[in-house]
Amino acid sequence: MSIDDSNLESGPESGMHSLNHTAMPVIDMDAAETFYCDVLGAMPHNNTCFTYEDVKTGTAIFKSFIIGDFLLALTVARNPMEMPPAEQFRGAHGYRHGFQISRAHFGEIKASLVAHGVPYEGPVVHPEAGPFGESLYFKDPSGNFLEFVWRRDEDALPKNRTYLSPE
Amino acid sequence: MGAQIIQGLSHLVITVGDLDAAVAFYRDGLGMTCLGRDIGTEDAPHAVMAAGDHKVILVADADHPDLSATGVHQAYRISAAGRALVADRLGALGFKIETYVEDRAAEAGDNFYIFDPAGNRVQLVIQNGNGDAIAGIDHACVQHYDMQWAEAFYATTLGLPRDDATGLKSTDYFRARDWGDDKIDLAPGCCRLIRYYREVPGQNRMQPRPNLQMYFRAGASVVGIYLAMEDYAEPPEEQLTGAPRTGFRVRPGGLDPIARTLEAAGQPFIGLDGRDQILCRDTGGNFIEFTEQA
Repeated sequence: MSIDDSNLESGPESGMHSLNHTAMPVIDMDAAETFYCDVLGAMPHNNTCFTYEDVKTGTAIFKSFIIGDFLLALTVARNPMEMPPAEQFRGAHGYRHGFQISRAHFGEIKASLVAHGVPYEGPVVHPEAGPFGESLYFKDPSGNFLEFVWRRDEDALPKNRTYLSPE
Repeated sequence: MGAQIIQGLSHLVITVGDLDAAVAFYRDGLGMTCLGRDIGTEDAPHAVMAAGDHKVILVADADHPDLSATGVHQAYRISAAGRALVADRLGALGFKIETYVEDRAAEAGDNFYIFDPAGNRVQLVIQNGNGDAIAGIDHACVQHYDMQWAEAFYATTLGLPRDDATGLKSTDYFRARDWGDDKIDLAPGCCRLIRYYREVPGQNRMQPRPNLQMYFRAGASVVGIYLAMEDYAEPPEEQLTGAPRTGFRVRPGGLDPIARTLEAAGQPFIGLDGRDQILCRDTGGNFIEFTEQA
């Protein structure tokens, strides 16, 4: 199927290509790093405020990771984060990050969640008329909601884009 | 290279302003045995103290820097009964025991600190066992300007597993807030006051935050790295040995792989030409020694 985007107000003409990065608080940076690298295959990219000079400028501690063409910057939450109920996997804890994967790898990613002991909900099948195929909903160790989704229009989307060397 | 080559700590070299006063503190207060004076390889007057399985070398240095406001400290293992005796002796000698709240989970309950006469911070941590004497070095902490470089050196180059870290959890920030509000007392180097780069209405003041610390396991001991609290002068680049210094014990035949590893990492060093030790510095200018001797 194809998605009719003729009514979309944004697009390449607007100069906006895609989401570049988000910054997200976590309660335990080490646990988050292990989770995002092991479970999501994230690649460590950069650390901020791990030096004396950075600290003097008053910047916050960040660790950033590359996931495909997207940069995820994690910072340590300075205030308490409300944890969603353990049995809740689907929601918006302020926000939810949905990571697109190919349909061919959907089974692998599901097996990876199982292998890493990450509880999840799904696969949830989306309406046939929409762009999304199936989703798995889960959380990181800080309770941030995450999602893996494959798209029905994936063949029409750019492939192999990376954050460091975009097309 | 890894922890199988580096088997633990061997000794610590500590600078002191007054050698006699230092020997009295470590011998009469902490209960270490003085093995002799000027019996080591230090150029300056020194005393070699036995600290259980390890040695502590006190070196006279008139220019000894004041590190009392930093995270730099040395910790020794001792039984609960032994620590109580040390507390009595130090009290009689007029030393004040500090009971800071611990920010490292592995040291919970080990909040027993004293400053030696030169201002070096000493900690005693409880180890199950009999006997009243110090059993050995539990951990030794130095400071570094760049924690990424520190981790690269100790974890990647030396292959020491990272034990834990402080300053990377929300609970560390909550503790820092309590420290900033004077609700708890933390050891020097654990927290700092900064002005965040983005001014928040009503918060344009110095804010407390945890100071980043990382710990790397070397056998039964641990090396801790604190992010520097303030500017300090690193030794000249060409100086590869000096004091203070952290001594690692390596397995027999382990100096060759250490040398190859340092060479591959571009870390200059002294040694291997008839010596039984390698001398170098870490990426933060802290002096290090590797020896096959216990």
